[in-house]
Amino acid sequence: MNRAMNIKGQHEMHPGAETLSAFTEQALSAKERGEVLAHLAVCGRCRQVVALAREAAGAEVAATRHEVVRPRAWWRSWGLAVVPVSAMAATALIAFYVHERAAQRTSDVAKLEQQQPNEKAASPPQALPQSPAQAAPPAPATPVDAPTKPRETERPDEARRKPAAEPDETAGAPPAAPPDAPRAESIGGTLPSRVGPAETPGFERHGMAFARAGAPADDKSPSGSSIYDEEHKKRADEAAEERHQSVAKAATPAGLHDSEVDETKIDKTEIDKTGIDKTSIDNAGSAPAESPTAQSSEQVEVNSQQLQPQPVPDVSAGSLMRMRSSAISPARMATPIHLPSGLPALSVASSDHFVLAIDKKGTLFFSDDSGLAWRKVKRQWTGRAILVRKKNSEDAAAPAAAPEGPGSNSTADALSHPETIFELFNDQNDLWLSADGRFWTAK
Amino acid sequence: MASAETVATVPETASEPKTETLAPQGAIDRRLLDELWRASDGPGWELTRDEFDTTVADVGGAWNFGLEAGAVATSEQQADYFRGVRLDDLVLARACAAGNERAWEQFIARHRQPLIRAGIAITGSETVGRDLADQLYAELFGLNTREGQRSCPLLSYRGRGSLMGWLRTTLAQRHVDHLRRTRRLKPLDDPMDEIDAPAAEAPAQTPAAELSQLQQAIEQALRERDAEERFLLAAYYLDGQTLMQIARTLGVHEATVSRKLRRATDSTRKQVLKNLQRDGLSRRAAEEALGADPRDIEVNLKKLLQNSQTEAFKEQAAL
Repeated sequence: MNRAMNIKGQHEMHPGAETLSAFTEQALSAKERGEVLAHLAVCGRCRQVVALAREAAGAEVAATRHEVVRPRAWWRSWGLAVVPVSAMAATALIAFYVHERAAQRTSDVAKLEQQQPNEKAASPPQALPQSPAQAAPPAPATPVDAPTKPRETERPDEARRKPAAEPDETAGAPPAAPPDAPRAESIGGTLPSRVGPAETPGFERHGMAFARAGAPADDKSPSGSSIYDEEHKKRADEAAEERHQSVAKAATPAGLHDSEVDETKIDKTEIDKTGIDKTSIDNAGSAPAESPTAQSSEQVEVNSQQLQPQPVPDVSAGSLMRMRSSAISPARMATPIHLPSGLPALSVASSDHFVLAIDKKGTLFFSDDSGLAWRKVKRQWTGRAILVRKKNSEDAAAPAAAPEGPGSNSTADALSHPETIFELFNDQNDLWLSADGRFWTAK
Repeated sequence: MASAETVATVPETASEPKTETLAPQGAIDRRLLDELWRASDGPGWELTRDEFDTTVADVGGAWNFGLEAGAVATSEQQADYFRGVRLDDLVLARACAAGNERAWEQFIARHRQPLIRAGIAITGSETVGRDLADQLYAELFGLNTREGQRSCPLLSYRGRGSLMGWLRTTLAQRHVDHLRRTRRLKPLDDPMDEIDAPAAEAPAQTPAAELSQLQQAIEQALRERDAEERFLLAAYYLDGQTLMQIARTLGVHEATVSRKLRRATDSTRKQVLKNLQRDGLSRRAAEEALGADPRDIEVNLKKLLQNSQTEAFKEQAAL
């Protein structure tokens, strides 16, 4: 039957190459496609043409795809490098992030140091080896009924503001080389301030500061060296400066005026002289009030002025002076406070072995063991806490009692019954008060 | 604006359809011509605007813009039709037919190697494929003359489908025709003949009357099949094409072809049985007439399909 087919006759009825090509490429209309399909159903020749053309097109597509694949091989070769490149990029990114974070921390520390009391820059840190007594744990506050209370009627502010050339009236002795002056400077750091324990019963005592203070001071320095020795003091300053480079590197506070710097220097000189006096008294055995604990307390008090919280903008100079009394020693500054939040302390205040600290996030922490263990204080204030400081009742009473002169009863009562009040400022300069550091009430 | 007279002056090859009979009664919209001129690369091939307009009129008139013969195409219908025309290939082909050297350079750069690859793929032999491609290339270049005039097959390309597809199909046509000529009347699908022969010359296990009834029933059943089902049956059972080849030809998924093929087979068999029962056979007798194996129908299918007449194409082969 097939052999009887008239191919020529069918050939004349075959669709053209263009029609078959359009059929293969789906370029015909539905009607035309149906016609071609009907022809293909009965025409083996056209079916074969279409099949071969389609096969050739498939081969061409494969060849083209093969050509296109060649550049892909180039990409693939680079694609293998994507993994290590990505890993390197990720590593670089992480390193950059860590570096930025470290830089941020550095800047934060610098800011914190800049926020420290102005006297820190005015009086370079000086340190000398401490005595074993000074390195001992913090002693309790000196009893208010101490047998001897030298200069108890003298206000700390007045003592600080005494000029260097002005003789110490209460000491009654000529200026002499203070045997414990270097010690006081080593612990006190940059702002020596002679605030005796009897004068400020609520002064700070930081056992940690004592424990971390360093080498013991020469407590048995000759008491006979009562002559003020400038060279000796310079050497002591240089030694202290070497030992406390980190503290000495602090930038000079911009808010501190030159006059204040001078006053601070004067205070330090005065402290030196006072130390001489005390040492002389101790050696003579005629003044039982200056016990080693008292000396340490005094030095701790001096040290506590190193870590000065950043005052709120409207804090007056008087407030600044009061804030100094609630600061923490520079030894603590040298040994950063490790708060449970892991953030650096923004503001620290302490009273006895109670320490309050605000981290950078504004969280308040409380420690009743001089900073060994911290507990978070439940938030009882609005806004973000930025400053905590200690305000003693005598601070408020002292200005009023000062005009009354030494030995006035009101001042004595205030000092004998100190009531520590912690103050907390938020970022809106609102104030909260607390007697124990844990329960706060808005003022 | 091109007119019907312009369309009539388009040069034609002997194998091309008569444009006079398919020429549109309406002219091509001038704005459409301007738009097509801007879209084409005619100026790049040194094609004048008049030549371009003539070409467009030829292309539109050859198929009457895809409409029935005698229908008048509107501007929208003309625009729709030309959206499916490969204008860039059309202009390139016409420029090559006109002898533009730059166009030939472009043609060679685009289609020379693909043409050779197509020839190799069609013939299955690199030597034969290259010879086939070179022979067509020589004809395309106009080395052949017909009645004293240079004949270029590219003039028969009217932009329906890609130029490369047209070239491939032309190569396939030539290859198939060559095989058919060289093998005289021997069909290409000899293996199918091997299968067909026993079926055609199968010993008559059934009476002749029943065979005659079966023949008529099959013819009637196949006649009732639509074009797609007949194509599927022929391509799969007669040509031995795979489902994938058929799917590529139809542009559908292989699974679709398989499903349609099974449906066509089942419906054809049911129709044959129904026809046999209508002619007086019982169902059991009808099934026995078909035989246990439904593939026995294929023998008759080929015979019947090859003898089927189609009125779809009156077009002559291009070459």
